[in-house]
Amino acid sequence: MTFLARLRSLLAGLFKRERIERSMSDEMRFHLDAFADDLVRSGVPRPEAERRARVEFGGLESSKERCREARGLRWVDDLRGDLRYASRTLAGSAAFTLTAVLTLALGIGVNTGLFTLVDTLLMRPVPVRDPWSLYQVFGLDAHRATAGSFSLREYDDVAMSGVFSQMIADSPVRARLRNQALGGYAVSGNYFPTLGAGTVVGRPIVPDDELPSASPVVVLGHARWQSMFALGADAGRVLWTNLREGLQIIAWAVGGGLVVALVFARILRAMLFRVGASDPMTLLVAPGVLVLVALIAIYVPSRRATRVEPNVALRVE
Amino acid sequence: MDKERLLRGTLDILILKTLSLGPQHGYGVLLRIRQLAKGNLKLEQGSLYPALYRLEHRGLIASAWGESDNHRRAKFYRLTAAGRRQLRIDAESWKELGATITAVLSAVPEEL
Repeated sequence: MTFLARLRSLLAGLFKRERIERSMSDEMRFHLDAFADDLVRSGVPRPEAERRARVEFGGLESSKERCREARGLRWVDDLRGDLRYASRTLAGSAAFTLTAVLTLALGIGVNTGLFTLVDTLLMRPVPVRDPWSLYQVFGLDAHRATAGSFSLREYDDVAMSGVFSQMIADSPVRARLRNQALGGYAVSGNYFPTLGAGTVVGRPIVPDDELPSASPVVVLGHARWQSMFALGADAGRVLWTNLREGLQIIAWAVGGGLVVALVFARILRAMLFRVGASDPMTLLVAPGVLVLVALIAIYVPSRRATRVEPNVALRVE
Repeated sequence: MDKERLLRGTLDILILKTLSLGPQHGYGVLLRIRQLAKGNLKLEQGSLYPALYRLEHRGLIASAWGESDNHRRAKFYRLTAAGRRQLRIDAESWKELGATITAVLSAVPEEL
């Protein structure tokens, strides 16, 4: 209740300031006039009455100031003054402002960009249905060394045990297709349905493909599909596509960072009175290193993407 | 004892009480307090308005422009429901405080 009243009062103070000021003046003028009128009625001459009214009221301006304070307008006025002062000081030294804004923009931008990349590359779960329910099974051999491989019979045993709701298997294979050597995986028939993965064109491998009578099926990755059958996309193109996407993120981040930095630079400048632009080498090298790191961070995974062999998925024999 | 100086927060409760008797403009509040106090309190007129603004800011009183007795535009204050509640609470604690102080001051050696 009182909170709402305060909020309403404060908002009125922010947006109807002139009306409040006028109302305050009118109100106090009425007070002085009414007081003087009463004095006149009791026999005091008019000029003397007006003088006494003013004296007894006390300082008009100090009273108004305390009224503003009582309405919680003090910090609004202070903030307004500070902002005006900050922007004037900033405008006064354009070089410092520019350097500070650019440094902050680059710092914030690159950090945002890097985080977005790391988030995309490392923190996102694999793009399959319910990734957190996926487990990889390892076994121990006679020498108690871990082994990730199982024979088909062992796979069937684990699948039949009922520990997991679904069991999928894959095994690295190499194949030749259209006279090109391809690396990929032979997968079990339930591989795609279990992971909830589909294909853009054609159909994924289904359980029926495991039947001895079924003909061999292959699912190609996008890059391989493009390079073998479509537009002749090559490694350079894949690299460029990735770099472009990364640069877009950085551009957005730097742009956003610029806006944020602009605001912060003003605040910072207001606080750091008379602090000149520091060592220009630092100011140049720091953003430079950040940009370099960001570029490497995009380049490395992009290079790897160009080398990724298509997922040649063959049915389990 | 300096009877003319008001204790902190006293002005607020006096204003609330005055307005509980009916809506009034700032100058009217001043006159009414003077009348009720029979000249025993000297109000600093300049502090009246900050107090009114503070009470309005807290939602205890509300204001609206109207016409005074001599047909001039004046800002009238009235008590809100929250103000009425606050007055009851404050008046209660004032009475208690008064009774306590009186009891302490009227203590005689035999009581200890």
